[in-house]
Amino acid sequence: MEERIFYTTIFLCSLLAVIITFFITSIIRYHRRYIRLQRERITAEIRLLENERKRIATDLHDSLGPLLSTVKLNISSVDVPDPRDKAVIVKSGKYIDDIVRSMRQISHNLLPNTLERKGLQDAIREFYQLLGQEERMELHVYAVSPIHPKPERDIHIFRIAQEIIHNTLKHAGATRLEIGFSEDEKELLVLAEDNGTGFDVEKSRRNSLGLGLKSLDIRTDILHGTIAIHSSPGKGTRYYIRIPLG
Amino acid sequence: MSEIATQLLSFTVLIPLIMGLVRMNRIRASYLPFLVFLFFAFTAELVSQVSIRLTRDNRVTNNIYILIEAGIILYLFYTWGFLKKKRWLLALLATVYLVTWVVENICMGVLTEGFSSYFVVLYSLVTVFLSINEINSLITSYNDNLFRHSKFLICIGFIIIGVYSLITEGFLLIDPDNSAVAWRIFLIFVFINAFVNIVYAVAVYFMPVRDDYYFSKRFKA
Repeated sequence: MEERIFYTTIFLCSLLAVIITFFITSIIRYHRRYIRLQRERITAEIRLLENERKRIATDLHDSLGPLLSTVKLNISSVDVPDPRDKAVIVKSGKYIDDIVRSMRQISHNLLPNTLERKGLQDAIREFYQLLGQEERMELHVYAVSPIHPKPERDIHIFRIAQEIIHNTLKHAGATRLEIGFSEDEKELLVLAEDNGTGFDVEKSRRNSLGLGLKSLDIRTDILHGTIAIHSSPGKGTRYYIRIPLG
Repeated sequence: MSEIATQLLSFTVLIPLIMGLVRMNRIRASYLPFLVFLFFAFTAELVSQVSIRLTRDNRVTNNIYILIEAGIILYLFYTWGFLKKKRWLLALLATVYLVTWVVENICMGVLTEGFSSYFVVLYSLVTVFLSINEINSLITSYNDNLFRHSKFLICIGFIIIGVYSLITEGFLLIDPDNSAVAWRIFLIFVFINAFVNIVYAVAVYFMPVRDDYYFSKRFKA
């Protein structure tokens, strides 16, 4: 009798375990499907955003730029006898120059041509040059192995680098920032380290109202990569980013 | 099953422990408490065997070990982040653990006279809940194969052992004099323990390498 009770208990426990396992597996499957759909939606939104940026940047650069240059040329060719009119024309020419410069800056911020023409490293260097903060902080961009260009991926990495540079300039009070790349057949590694004041990563993630750290997470997630930020007050900050290839 | 076979199965904890010691310098700091947990499990097993041979009794070592084990598991969940975000819960659980253990072992005199079943029920239940919570968090944050994630495997191990401990202790509390059934339940426990130790070994194998170590190999090579 005792033996039968024992085996019945074992059988019922096993049955219960199977039902619970099925229940949990089912929850995991559906939850992961939901997460995947959410990620696909975010990826589509960001891709749409990048395409729109690209379109606006191209329009600014290809349509508005030549038009403004023509306007300036035309104004410069106008010959007026009155010195006051001449001064107005010179002033207008300068304004047009300013507009062209601002437009190039906006176009570059939206999508740097250098990214497609010369690659990630030069695009980051050029972006920093245009920021004009070289005296405040030195930026060193390097690669320990050749980085093969992949436009779809590179735009996200460029945005990540932009965010890291902005964060470092805004909060770290650093005098030097290094951004390194290393690529092999498996993955692309990005290591960014500064000599700034550092911060409490967990606290910042919890209390931050801005999109800075979230944007880093989202962009890395889109690339199926991982990001780890190591920092503590007074010890600088290191960003470890791993992006799988293929 | 012979006593030697039972003892050999108990010492399967050596497999994940040796693997952990080999990888110790490379793995992330948040996984180190798990290696400490394995080390104490092995030490307790060893001390228990010695104690049985010398005094035919392992109740004291067992009762002290479960308190240490419960503390290490709490600390593990603290380093993994959940209890770090809820420090009040960590303080509460640690206090409840300590009070239950002292009342059962010192006040009720179980330390030398028996096994602290109430404490085992309490900490197994808490560990199972913490593990389920950690697995739920992983499901939403980890995109790859969960069976290759060390935390997931460790939590699965904790849940299996925790649930089985609850069944065993529950049985002992309800019917403490039924030694024939108790022996059978213990025999199954030996196999489950060995299986979980293998799961732990896989978990140790998949423990992620420290970021600074991984990156320094590629950037400063």
